[in-house]
Amino acid sequence: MRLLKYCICCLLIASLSSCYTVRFQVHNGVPETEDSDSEDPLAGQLFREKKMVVNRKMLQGNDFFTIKDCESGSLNTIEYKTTFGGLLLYVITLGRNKEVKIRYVCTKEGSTDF
Amino acid sequence: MASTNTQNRQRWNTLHKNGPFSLKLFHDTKLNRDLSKFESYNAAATEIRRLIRLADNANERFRPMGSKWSLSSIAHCKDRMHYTPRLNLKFAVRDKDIHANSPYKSENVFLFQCGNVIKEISLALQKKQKSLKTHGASNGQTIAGCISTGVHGAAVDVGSVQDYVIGLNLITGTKPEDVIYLERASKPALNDDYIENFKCKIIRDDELFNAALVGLGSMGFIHGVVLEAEDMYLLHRCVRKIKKETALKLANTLNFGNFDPHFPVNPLDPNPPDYRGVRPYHFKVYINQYNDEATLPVEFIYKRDYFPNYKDIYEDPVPNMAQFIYTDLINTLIKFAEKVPGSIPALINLLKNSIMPKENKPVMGKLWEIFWDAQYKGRAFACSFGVDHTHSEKALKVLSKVTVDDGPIPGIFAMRFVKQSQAMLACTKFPFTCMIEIDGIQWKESDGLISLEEYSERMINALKQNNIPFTIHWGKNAKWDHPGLANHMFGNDVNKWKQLRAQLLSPRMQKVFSNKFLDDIKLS
Repeated sequence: MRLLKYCICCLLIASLSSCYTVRFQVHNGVPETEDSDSEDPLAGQLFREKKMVVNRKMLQGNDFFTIKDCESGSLNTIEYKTTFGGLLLYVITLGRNKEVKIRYVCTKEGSTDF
Repeated sequence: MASTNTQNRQRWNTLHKNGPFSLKLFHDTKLNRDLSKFESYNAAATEIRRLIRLADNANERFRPMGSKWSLSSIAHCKDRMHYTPRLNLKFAVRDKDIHANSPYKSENVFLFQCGNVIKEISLALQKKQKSLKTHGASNGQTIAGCISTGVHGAAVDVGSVQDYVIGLNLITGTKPEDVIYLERASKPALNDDYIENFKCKIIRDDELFNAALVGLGSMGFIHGVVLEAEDMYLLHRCVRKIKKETALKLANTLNFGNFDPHFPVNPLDPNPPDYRGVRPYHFKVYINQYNDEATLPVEFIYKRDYFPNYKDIYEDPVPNMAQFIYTDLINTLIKFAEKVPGSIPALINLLKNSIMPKENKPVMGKLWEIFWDAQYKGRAFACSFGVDHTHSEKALKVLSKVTVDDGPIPGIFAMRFVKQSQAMLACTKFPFTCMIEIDGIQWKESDGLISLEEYSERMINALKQNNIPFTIHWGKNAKWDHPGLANHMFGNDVNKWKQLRAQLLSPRMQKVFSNKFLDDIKLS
């Protein structure tokens, strides 16, 4: 029973400390917008989501993931998120697989052209 | 051709969730950027006429909308709404495009398509070393949305956004001749040859232009806005705590002749300013109605000539990290306050360090840097009244009393001051208007809390009982169906506005470009 409690405590601590979200935003750009009903911090912005499990080989720093759907050709905001599930996957696979979850907002097309 | 994606919808909401409202169809039009700019603009006009025709044929209403920042239902229409932010072409004009009798310099005249948001206009103008003259407290609204609702900012001697608009391209119906270019006869901006590029019928008429400027989304589809910019400048901002009686005297008089804001001197400034006796570009007073403190935080902003190394000398106004850690906390506290209404004053006093501006070091930046992105996108309300600035202290007292006695209400007041607008239905109609606004988080009516509608009704009645003439910001929350409200606010100008609208729009198009908001205020 004590071991079970200990495990639950460890899981709770791990889940709390492993979930976080980081956002980066250019200060002098205009995001692509859309009409949505969400109350998310990105509400009103057209965000795309990419969620994938990548192999350790892909995380050595030499590879790029290509973003093909920004018609303006540039990004305004990028959000990186980690979850407890992602951490669990990383631990269970002994670091071989990692979940990558990002959301990004493109710069509004034609926003600074004259 | 421009292309439109049309969705069936059941509901629609504002950015700050003041709805939801019912909706049938949602149109989202995208430019064809393979064409030349003029061709692309004109193709969009053709597409807009097609969408208006569809609405007319279906005997339904149609309404363009921008960034949906209005908290009132002014942008909503139950039948067909049209999303405009993707319509964002920009045009600079040359000397030869300017009208022979124009008072404007060509280098300052620009045409922006309706869906350009304020920030992108600022960034585009910056490339030409130009700036907007003023804008609201943030920068996400579309230019057409701003002028339709009278967005005003707080530039004391400048005016509101619509006051630097010098031409309008309106689409008032389904036919090619319903594409109109409207500007003042007394101050024309563009010549006929240039306007020919947009295939417009030209109308030069001061009264019609002033009526259409703040058109409440009901003077046809604003497709393009011609505005006058100015040379790029800097704004020097500082929040000072000053005696309440001094702040209110400045509000009542706008006389800064004997006033010194005591801006800290920066020895690195190439041209150290002396603001003693100078009326600021921007003046805003914050008031926590639940706390009778002897001093009030006041935001002073002074205009400066541009110099390139300002960021090396002064604090950067754009934060490196925008933190909004209190959003969830505030929402939780509001839930608590709905159960225990008496706790609201204490909660606001508890949070005052987070919600009231603190005295800080002066910052300097361009207009778009000082009034940067608004990050809060949660549920919010705002009630905003315009009164003659000589009535500002009296009106504040009346509105605060309603808030404390009939409330409590989870929000705080601020006062901003704006020069008179020439637009017929501008909320900034007084020689200098004091816009008194209470901003806060939405709440639900409960045993001890009146509804937002009831609160607004009581504020309207209190101003009437105290014989304080007032207006209400069209994009803010109010009891808009209060009997005779528009007539009370604008008198004969209401009938004049309706007559001018009938001059611009056929009876069928008046129906198409109406909505419940217009019905409520008896302007449809």
